[in-house]
Amino acid sequence: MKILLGILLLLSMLVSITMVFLVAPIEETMGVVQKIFYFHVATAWVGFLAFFVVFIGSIGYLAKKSRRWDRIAYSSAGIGVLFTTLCLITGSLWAKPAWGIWWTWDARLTSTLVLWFMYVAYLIVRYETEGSERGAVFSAVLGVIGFVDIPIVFMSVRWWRTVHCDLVIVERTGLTPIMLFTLLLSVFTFTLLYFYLLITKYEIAKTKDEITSLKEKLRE
Amino acid sequence: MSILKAEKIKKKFGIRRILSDVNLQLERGEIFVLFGPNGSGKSTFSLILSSLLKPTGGCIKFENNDIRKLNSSYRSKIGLLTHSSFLYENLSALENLRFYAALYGLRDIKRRIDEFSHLFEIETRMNEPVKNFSRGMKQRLSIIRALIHNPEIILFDEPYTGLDELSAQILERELLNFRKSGKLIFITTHNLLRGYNIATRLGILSRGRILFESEKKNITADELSETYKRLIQNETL
Amino acid sequence: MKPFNDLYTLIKKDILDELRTGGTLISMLLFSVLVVVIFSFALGTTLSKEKELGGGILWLTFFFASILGLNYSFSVEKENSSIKAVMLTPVDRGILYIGKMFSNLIFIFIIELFTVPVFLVFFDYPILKIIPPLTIVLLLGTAGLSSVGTILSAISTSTKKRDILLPLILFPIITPVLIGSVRCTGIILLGGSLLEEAGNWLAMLAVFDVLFIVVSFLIYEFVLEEL
Repeated sequence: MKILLGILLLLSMLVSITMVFLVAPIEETMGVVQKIFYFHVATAWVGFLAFFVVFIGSIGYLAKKSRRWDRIAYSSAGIGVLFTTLCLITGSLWAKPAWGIWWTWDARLTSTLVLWFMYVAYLIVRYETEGSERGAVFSAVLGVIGFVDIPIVFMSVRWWRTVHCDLVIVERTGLTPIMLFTLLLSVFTFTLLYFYLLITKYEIAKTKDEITSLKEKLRE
Repeated sequence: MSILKAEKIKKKFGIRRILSDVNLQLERGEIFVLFGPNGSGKSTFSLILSSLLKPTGGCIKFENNDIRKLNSSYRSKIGLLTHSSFLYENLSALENLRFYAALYGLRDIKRRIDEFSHLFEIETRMNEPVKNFSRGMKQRLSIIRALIHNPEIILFDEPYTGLDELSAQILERELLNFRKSGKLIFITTHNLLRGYNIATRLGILSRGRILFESEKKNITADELSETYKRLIQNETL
Repeated sequence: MKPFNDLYTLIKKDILDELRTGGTLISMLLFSVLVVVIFSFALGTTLSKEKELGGGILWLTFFFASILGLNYSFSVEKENSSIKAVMLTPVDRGILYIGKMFSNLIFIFIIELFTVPVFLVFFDYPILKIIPPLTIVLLLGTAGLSSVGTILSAISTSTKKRDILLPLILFPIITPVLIGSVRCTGIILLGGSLLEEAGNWLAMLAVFDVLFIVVSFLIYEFVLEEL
């Protein structure tokens, strides 16, 4: 199944890249830079999806205490942080030519940054409690609290920025149908990539567990 | 019917296996003493019996019910003593006991505390903070703390640590009284002599396995000592 | 009622412990007054013109002071594993959470009540006019801080990096509380009406408090069992 997914991913990537760089028209005002948008939005989406999966995995682990759920949550958190990092970087790269600054305290950017910190903290707790059941429980608790927090973070940051900041960025105007299609395709490809990485990380985590139990058998 | 039953208890910490398939049946009105060297898994086993530690495999049954399903009704029947004192260092002895007694929802708190502090002869120091206490005094206070709610199951892990001869005698006298009222007393120790004297039944734990189990009447103190040495040596070879 | 008696017993114990040592509360208080003093060195006394600065200074101070208290609140339970013996009593684990949460809330709130007047004096604000509405914000914000802070301090004290870890995991999660409290405080400091100008912020703080008290109440047991 993983191989099938891999082949699909490869095809989808080829098509997406062709669409992004060769087919989709160059945007009038921003020019070629706008193409980063197809990656930016897709990484943002994968970030959220990953954190949602962390939430589900965490609840599953707390309810069932099975390593399987824990592996899903943990694997997904790492991927989520990776893609959120990419999202922040691509956003920043795009912001410079588009608005003339690397960073702006725009509501969405700020929320994403807070989210990034939240899940980096999750990984740190994980690292500090390496491999223990305790660590799995602690990070599951963080996974639940963090996800419940996301809507409140977004709401509060939006209120915070829109009360005083006139800088309203309208970035979704003038999307032609072909651009929209390219965007959706890109999101689809990145989602496939996410699942491919998730399965791979899950398998690595599982193999690690198996090695541990083999080592233990050897000791006896 | 046995009051407490350990079925195939396994415990692992990471890749270290502490207990492997420990089976044990405990009855009301008995004093079961479990001997074993340091690191044999005694403390882990008593924590598992108390429900504070979850076994990796197997289960503990109280009157044939899995304790995971009994929850607080089981927890409040336990009188636990471990190498941690469970005391708040900054509070006085009296405040510590009052705190735990109140959480157990006891009614005659004052009477019980007076009675026990008199029995264990710490009544003159009840208002001192625990951090001023010596190891032995702390141990006496911990023992009172463990018994304050009149538990049905008494789990004492190395109760003699830090106790002087007199306190040890007081403790044994009280344990015999508890035994008469039909309670289960489970003690772990590496002190063969003391353990043998108080036991009604005994066992030896080494490397996470119970290697020997016997009624006290079937074995003399010397035989126990010999068996213990032989088993422990075999294991370390 | 057993749960209320239990709550009383738990909170009384924490307060007694604090009275016997006094150390934590006094250090927290000294720390927060000191931070306010440092800010007044750094910024002069021209604060009233700056909109958010005042609220920001106060809440950052409270955040770091509360880290000290939160870390202590669990290390005292773990010193002799007392928390384990408490878990053997028939007290509901959720009640253990609520008790600790309230103790933390009380301690942090006391710190705030002493720090705020100092702050107002140093930066020349009308004290009597500001304190009553500010108390509401302090209570709502501190409830949010201690709701998540209590469960996360239980986690951080069980890891190797105990002291440094708590701010790292706590700060991102309570951003909404900090933003909301800073905003409300800013409005009050500028002489605005709290209910008219910051009604939605107050509502958000209240929602955060209730939501995280409920969530923590439900999942606290999992954390306790791993301590």
